[in-house]
Amino acid sequence: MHEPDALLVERARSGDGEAFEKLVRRHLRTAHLVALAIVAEPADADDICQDAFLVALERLDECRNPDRFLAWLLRIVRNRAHSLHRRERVRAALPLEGAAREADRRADPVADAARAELRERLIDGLRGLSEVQREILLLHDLEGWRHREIAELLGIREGTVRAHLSYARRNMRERLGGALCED
Amino acid sequence: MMDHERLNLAALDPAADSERWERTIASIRERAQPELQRRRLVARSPLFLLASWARPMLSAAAVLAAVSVALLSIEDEPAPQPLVLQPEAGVAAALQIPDPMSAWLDEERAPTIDDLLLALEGDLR
Repeated sequence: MHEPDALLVERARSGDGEAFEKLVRRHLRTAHLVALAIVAEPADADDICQDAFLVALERLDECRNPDRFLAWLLRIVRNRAHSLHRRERVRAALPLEGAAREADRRADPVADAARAELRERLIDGLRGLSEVQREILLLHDLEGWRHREIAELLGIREGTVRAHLSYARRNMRERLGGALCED
Repeated sequence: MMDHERLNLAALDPAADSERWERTIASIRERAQPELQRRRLVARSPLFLLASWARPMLSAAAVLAAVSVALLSIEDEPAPQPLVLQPEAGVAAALQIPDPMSAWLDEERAPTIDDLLLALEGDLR
């Protein structure tokens, strides 16, 4: 059964860990993409999201409209991402020895390496776009949001969203070419 | 011209690496424990229970106050005066029939033209 955000927020306010985890699982992906659009660095986006969820939990009583928890959470994500962006880059999400252990555990290091390389190229491509174009592109093409939803989130017109999206796609195709072909 | 073809950005999907994804969630869960614990304690404290009762109690009190004010305002309205009949008044007086009419009714006779004129003048006055 799909529990509405408002109910989960209410339960999390009373310290219900299960409700809080449901909120995390439901919104972490979107939060990550929004952070990634700002910092253009997946490890930083990870850190920002972890911190943002903890800040959100601490300030949960300030969330006046729990039905719109995601919009409220994304404001925290954006603020943290911007303040991080202004400062020097944060440390990588995993310490080096942890990353090495993780690499040892992987079943297919070749495939992982290819995936990592593609990710790097995509990130490079994203860096050629403006922040708002990155956010629109990731939310639409990866997260599956509609133009209207993105327009509402960003406080811009739907037509502007379409124009940014079209520009971002063209720009990415020019930069990356075959890397963007469907599998 | 608008570019309507979706890009394949799956390599950027943070949930694609499920192991790493679960570790991230576990990390958030673990770091959230102290705050969740604090919230559980607050939720069980008598003050919190009182506060949680305060809102419905205040609402109920407001409704009661509104009802009381409405009832009091009804009580304050002057009651309609009962019709007091003079002891000597007859049926004509009770029905508030003009005097000229009551005269010929009392005498049990047909009204003359003068009676009718008097009755009309009485109504016009």
